[in-house]
Order: sequence, then structure tokens, then C-alpha cells
Amino acid sequence: MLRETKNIPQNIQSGLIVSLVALPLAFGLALASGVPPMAGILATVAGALLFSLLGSSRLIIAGPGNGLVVLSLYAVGVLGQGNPALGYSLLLGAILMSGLIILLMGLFRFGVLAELFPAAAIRGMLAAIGLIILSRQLHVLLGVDPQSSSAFGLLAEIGNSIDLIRNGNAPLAAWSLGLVSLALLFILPKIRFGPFQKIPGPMWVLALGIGYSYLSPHFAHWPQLPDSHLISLPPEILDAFTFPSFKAIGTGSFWTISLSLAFIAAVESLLSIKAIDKLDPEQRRSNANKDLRALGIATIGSSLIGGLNVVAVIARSSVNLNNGASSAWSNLFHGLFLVLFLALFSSQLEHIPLAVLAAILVHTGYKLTAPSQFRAMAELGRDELLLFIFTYLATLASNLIIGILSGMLVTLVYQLFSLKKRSYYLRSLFRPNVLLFEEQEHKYHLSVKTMSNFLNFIRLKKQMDTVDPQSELILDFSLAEYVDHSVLEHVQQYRHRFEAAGGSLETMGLDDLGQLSSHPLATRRPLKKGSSKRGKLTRRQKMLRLYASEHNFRFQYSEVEDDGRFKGFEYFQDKYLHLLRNRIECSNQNWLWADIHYEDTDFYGNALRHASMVYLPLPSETAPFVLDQERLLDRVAHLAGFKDINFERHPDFSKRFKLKGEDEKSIRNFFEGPLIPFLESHKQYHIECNGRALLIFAKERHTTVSETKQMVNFAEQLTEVLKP
Amino acid sequence: MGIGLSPSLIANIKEAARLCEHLANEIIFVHVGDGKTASREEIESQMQSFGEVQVPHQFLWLEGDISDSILKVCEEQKADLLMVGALPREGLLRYYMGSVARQLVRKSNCSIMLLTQPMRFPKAYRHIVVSGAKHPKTRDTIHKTLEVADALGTKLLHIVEEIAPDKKTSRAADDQEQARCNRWRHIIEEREQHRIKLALKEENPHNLEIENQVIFGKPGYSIGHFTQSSGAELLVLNSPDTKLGFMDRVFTHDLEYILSELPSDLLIVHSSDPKPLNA
Repeated sequence: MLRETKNIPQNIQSGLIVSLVALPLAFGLALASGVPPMAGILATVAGALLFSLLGSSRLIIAGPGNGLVVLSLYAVGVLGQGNPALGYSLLLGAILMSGLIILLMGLFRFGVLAELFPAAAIRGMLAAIGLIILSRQLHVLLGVDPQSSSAFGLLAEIGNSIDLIRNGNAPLAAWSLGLVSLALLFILPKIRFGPFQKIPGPMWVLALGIGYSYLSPHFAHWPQLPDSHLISLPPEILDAFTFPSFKAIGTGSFWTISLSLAFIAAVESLLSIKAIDKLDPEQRRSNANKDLRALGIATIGSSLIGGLNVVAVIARSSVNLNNGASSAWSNLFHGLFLVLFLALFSSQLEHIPLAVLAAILVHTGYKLTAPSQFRAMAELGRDELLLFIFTYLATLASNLIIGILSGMLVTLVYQLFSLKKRSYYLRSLFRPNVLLFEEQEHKYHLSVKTMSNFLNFIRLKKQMDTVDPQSELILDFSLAEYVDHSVLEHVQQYRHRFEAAGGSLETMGLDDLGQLSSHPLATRRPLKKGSSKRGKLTRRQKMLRLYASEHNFRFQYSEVEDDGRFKGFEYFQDKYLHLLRNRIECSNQNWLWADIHYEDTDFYGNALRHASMVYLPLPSETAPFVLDQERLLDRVAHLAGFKDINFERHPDFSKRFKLKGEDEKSIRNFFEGPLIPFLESHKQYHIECNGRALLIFAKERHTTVSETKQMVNFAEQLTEVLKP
Repeated sequence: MGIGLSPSLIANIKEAARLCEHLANEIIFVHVGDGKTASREEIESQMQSFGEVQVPHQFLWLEGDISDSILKVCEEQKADLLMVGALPREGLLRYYMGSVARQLVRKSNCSIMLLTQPMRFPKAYRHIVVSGAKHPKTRDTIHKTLEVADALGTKLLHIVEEIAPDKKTSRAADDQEQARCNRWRHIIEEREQHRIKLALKEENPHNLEIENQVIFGKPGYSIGHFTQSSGAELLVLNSPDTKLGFMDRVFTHDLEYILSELPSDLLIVHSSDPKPLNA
């Protein structure tokens, strides 16, 4: 996909930034996989060169993935039987075989594989991987070599490792560097300060680690880092090449490892590709089969020179996307930059402390298994949460494959048992249940019958794929009796694709079905008699309702999709808007206060965020602008180049507020008059104008009840001020 | 008309009688008993409470194998249409063993009509769906459907052509593939609609709105789903070319999809002289 030659300089720039994240991750992932650090670099380079050439996805970064760390470490142990060097070359054989399998999967169009698993099970497996990585790397971070190999055992050992530190058996420099790095990784993304936002956190801690180990020998009273706690690189890059060995090809474990590697790599890649497609500002659709073929070839190439599996990775891809990448050139260049770094700074890179790399991995692992993942599942209803936890525990107790397959099976059994006429539904899962026809020119009707869940979603997907997203599609579930969360989540992605392309996708027929939680994507099932559809209101909701009724506002707590009002703002351009919850509206004024759920991309993938914001339509059109304190301005990328607009007659206002916009003259016109005194005398909000309306919010989080009152009050008064 | 003792007996009879007012000269009710139960008396008493059937009719009381006896009567009397009541949805056991209705469909040599949800008040066949498959029998089937539609005062007739998806019309993994697949679909759609238009040219439907719908989907299944989702009251199909056997139910295809889950009343037209549609 290097045919697109538009914006190459921009893509080189984002490639550079991605390579800054990729460098420490490549080292860290390789070390965590029990192989020499260069294996990660080789996989990155192979992925960058081959995937950018052969893949269809433009924004994906290919390289070593965190889903395979656990499996590779296990494989080195099993295949090498205590000899890490032998284990490594035998693992390369298995990786080559897995590359071949992935290539075949692509040829036989297995690109729908990721859709076959229930969403809760996939998330459960990923969270378990996160915990396994975290539990192991925590010890490395402390400078201790752990004994146990299972996640539970490793967690239990933490006390042991802390004792070792207390007794002085671990180097002080290693564990304190590790802990400081970990703290920095958590804190840095929260600081809204230019350099911290531009250069990713892992690079900062890497710089810290290298700096410390470089300087410490010159200061005798500093705690020293022994060489065994630094990474070791081969003196020449060419020495890093290792060739695969197929001595283990006759053993059963070789084949189970190859198959598992292929399976996990394919699922992780397909999920990443789908997630990044969702965020592509141009809404281009990747060909999953073609990407699988490219990844297969890249993996084969990587294994031939000693690299790990090449996977499409979400974290680096979203860094790529956030830094303005638009074509596969950035993937290519991130690999080239990596080679460049190695060639130029190989002696400096020798100074990377292992503890710092471990801190980066602990942070990555934590992101995957953080409590917020559990909370997100709980919002979907207790059934989804239980299935998630089941898969999570099953994966920890056995292995990844058994974990996800048992999660899938339990989900199916659970779904069938929540229905009557089980055998009928079970049979219906294996028979056609979708019908698509063109009602009129560019207007399609897609009807779904009986049960629609993760197992037969592929049928629905195939039909939806054939519809041109510029047309109108009606997705009719009125003949369906059960629609599960996985299906609704996929459908929502399709809706966004249709809307971005100028078409529309409407679902209907879900109203007659009940649901266990009030989340809009919660599983729909036949209503039981007398059961209420909605959960209880939280305290905040009750208070908001009370407040709204006191002021004759309308309070609604049902979740709805954004009707395009919020999506129209620059702030949401690179974000994925999920839904609005808890809305307060006034019948005679047009403002709307709402809790907004949206997805933001950060270095480690997509984070679900919540914020309370006010939408306020303007009486007449004006030029777009942003008004705020310094910190948030950088978030609105396209205004970065503009100057702060100041008003001579209002020095105080000019000092406190930063106002930016393209059309300075009309912005000045807009602000002259009563608006500036009004803004000066009120709490400072972030105000963004898209020409037709204002977006007002204080912080990127939910407001408390009293903050909400202030905000609503502000909106009301502002409406008065803005009246012509 | 095959009858048996069931809750929907009277409704079925009434339905049949009403249809025959428009379509037939004579109706023969056939009941096959096992010689033990007193179902004949029961039926007769129910018939009395129901009142007189307006069409010339007779009752035949037989004993023996149900489907064989009924089919024998059909042959002897040179019946044009056999009607039976049927359950809309079959359970797993019955699906593999076969109900009487299904045995009749399999073996019958005349057209057959399955009544699914008979009502005591007259049901209007306002909306009929007929298969426009590319098949020698289709011409005759559409012709008969138009006759029926005319007689019953149908308002809307959908002629549905099912196209089994293949590589070029169903692969749409990315934007280019999707555009290609849509181009193919439109070409095929136009071709099919042209074919049906030609077939209809000589027909002269009064008062009847005829719509053409090309569906890309599993043949046999899609038309049933379409009938159900569009709320049509009657589905008309060609008779199967081969007699359906047990294996056809293990590997479900075509007509079996509809028989296992009847979307509406079903009329299977047994074509007397199949000839190519565009001959």
C-alpha cells in the first residue's frame, strides 16, 4: 500500500514518533518473551518493510505484539528444555510455521475470525494477558528473578520480592529506577504540557534510564547498576541474525505452539485492524484477508532472520494515527528509523536498564487489565461481566486458547439457557437467518430472524459488507428474538462507517426486547413478564433529576446516540463518540447538557472517557474559535499554528484567556460587547465554536451535581448574553 | 381436502370452502381414520354446528395409511388441488421423521396447498409472493398464481427471483471488492427483471400491482424470509423436481427451509406441462 504518495513528509514525521515508542517496546517485548532483545527489533523491521508493502491497512503499525509474549515465553521454556538459546531457535521454527498458517488463513479468507468470538470473551482473554505480563514484569522491575511461572504464583511472590529488596539483595538503582519510571508512565500522559504530549511517555523513561546508567559510573556515591541489569546487544547488528531450527517439528508441542501463535497473532491483528479502521478519519476499509496474508509473509520473513511474530498492534497504530499518519509510509519509516537508531546509538542503547523496560511493560499490562475494563463490562450488564470474568479466570488457569474457547462455549450455553425452546434456537444458529434486498434504488432492507449472536454474526456481516455505505440501510430485528451484545457492537461500527460515508444505517425492531442493563449495546432478549427494563438510578442521577424538576428542565437518563450535534466539533474529530447519557434540556432554550461517553486514543490503545459538556446553538453563524486556558488548546490540533487573539480594551481578559481562530476579524466582532465582561466575571470554561454552536466544558470528566448546576447556569446566562 | 380431528378443523374447512367458492367446482373432504376412535362422529357433529358448506361437496371416510389414502383419492378423482392444514414450525423430531403434510408434499402429483394459520373469519390473500426462479415450471406457476390472485382479489403480487450468491456477487471484504460486487448485482438484477417482464407480457392482470424483487441470498430460504418479513399471506412455489428424501433434511436446502418453518400459507404448483419461460 505504498502507492499513495500524498503527504509523505507528514507520514515520515509520524513514523519517527512511532519509532520512539516502538524502540523500547520492541526491546521490552522480546525480553519478556524470553528471547534476545534484538528479536523484537527484527520483527519490527520485518513488519515495517513487508507489511507496508503488502498489507491493505494504511494506518496499522506491524511489529511484535503483547498478546504473544506469554505464549513465546512458554514456548522457549518447553521447546528448549532449559536451554534458552536452543529454545529461541526452535521457537523461530514454530514462528515460521505460524507465519505459514497465517498466510493460509488469509488465502482461505479467515479474515472474519475475530468476529466469531463473543466480545466479552475476547476482552477477558486480553485482560488475562495483561495480568500475566504485569505479574511477571513487576518482579523484573524490582530487579528480582521470579521463580513461579503461573500468574497467580507470580502475584503471590510479590511479597517475597519485596523482602529481597528490604534485605538489600536487589540493586537499589534498578528497583528505584523501575518504580520512578512506572510512576512517570502513569503521570506523564496526565500532564498537559507541550513536550510531554508530543514525545510519548516510554521515550521519556527510556531517556531517564539511559541517562542514569550513563552518568552513574562517573559519580561514585550514586547507587550503581550492575551490567546484568542492563540489556545486552550484539556488537554488530548482523550478529543478531539467528536462523530457525526445525528439529522439534516432529513433536506435538511444536505444532500446538505454532497453531496457538498463529491463532493469537491473527486474532490480535484482526482486532487491531478493526479498531483502527473505526478511527480512520477517511473511513477507508481494510481488507482483513489481504492483511492476514501480508502478516503471514512478514512473520515468515521475520522468523528467517531471528525475529518474533509480526502482529498488527493497536497501541503503536493509535500513536501513528494521532500523529497525523495517513498512509503506509509511516509504517515503513518507523522501521527505517529504528534501524537508524541502532546504527547511530548502539552504544547508548546498551545502557538501557532492564527495570525501565519492565516498567513500560507493567504499564502496558496494567492498561489491559485495569479496573476500568471490568467497569466497562459491568455497564453492559451482569451477564457480560460474568462471562468476561469467566474467560479471564479460565485463561489464567489454563492457557489462552482454552481460555477463549471455553469463554465462547460458556457464552453460548448461557445464551441458550436464558431462552425457552433451546433446541430450536441452537438449530437456528446453523441455518441462514438473514435476508437482504434492495427496496428502492440505494435503499436496502436487511431483516434478521430468530437468534442473532456472535456465532452467526458472520452471515449478517457478509450481507452488510455488500451494501454500499453511501446508501440507506434498514437493519430490521423485528423477527429476531435474541440479539447479543457482540452483534450490537459490530452493528454500531457499521453505523459509523455508513454515516461517515454519507449513508445511514438504522436499526429497528429492538424495542420489544428486554435487556439486563440500560446500556444501548446490551444484549436484547425476550422480555420476562413483570421485569423492568431499566436499572436503578444512581444518586447523582436522582440529584440531577431533582435539580432539573426544580427548574422546569427536562432530565432524561436513557442512553442515546449522538444526533450529530456533538460530533460536529473539532474536539471530537479524532475521537469515537459512543453515546450520550443523562441529558438536561430546557424546553424554551436550545442548550443541552449531557454526559458524553467517547473513546480517545492514547499510547496504549483506546481509552473510554466520560465528560459532561454543554451544547449551545448560536443565534447566528460566526467564525470557528477556541477559548481556554493554555492547557487544553493543544488538544485541538488544527489551531496549533494560530496566534492568541488579544483585546486592547480588555487586558485582564486577554491575559487570562487564550483565544484562537482563523478568521480574526469576525471573532473580534463576536466577542466585542457584553460577552467579554460576562466571561470575565464567570468561571473559566473551555469553549469551542464550530460556527453554528458552542461546546462548553470544564474538565474532561463527569461533573459533580454542583458543577453541573454551575454549568447549566452558565449556559442559561450565556444564552441571554448572546441574544441579538 | 384432507381433514383430521384438530383444534383448527373447522377453521380449515371454512377456509377451504371459501377458497373453493372462487377457484373450484367441487370439494371432497377426505378423512382417514384408524378405525378405532370415534373421530367421524365428532367431526360430523362439529360440521353440523358449523352449518352448511356452500360449495358442492362430499365426504369420504377412509381407513389406512393417511398420506397414501389421500394421494390415492387425489389420483382417482383427478383432483387439481390438495389442501391440508400444517403446523408453521416443526419440532426437531418431527423435522427428521416428517409430518403428514410433508409426506404429502413429497409424494403428491397434484398441486398442494398448506394452510398454516386458518382463521374462522375469511382471510384475505391481499399480498402474494411467487417465485420467479429461472426454471421451466416457473411460467406455469406464475400463470396459475395470477389466476388465483385474480380470483381472490389480491392487491399486490411480488415476483421474487432468488440468486444464489457466488464469488463475484458476494465477496466484499474491502471497498473495491464491494464496488465490484454491487456492479455485478445490478447487471444480474436487470437481466432478471427483463426476463420476468418478458414472461409477463402476454398476461393481463387486472387490478393487480406486480412488483419484481431480486434477492441475493440462499435459494429457498430467502423467499421464505421475504414472505415473512413483508407480511404476505400466501407463498407460491414450483413443485420440487425430485422427490425429497431424508438426506434433504439433514442437509437442508431449497424447499426444505420453507417446509420446516412455514412463513405463510404455501401453495406448491404442480406444473402439468413445463416449458421454458422465454420460449
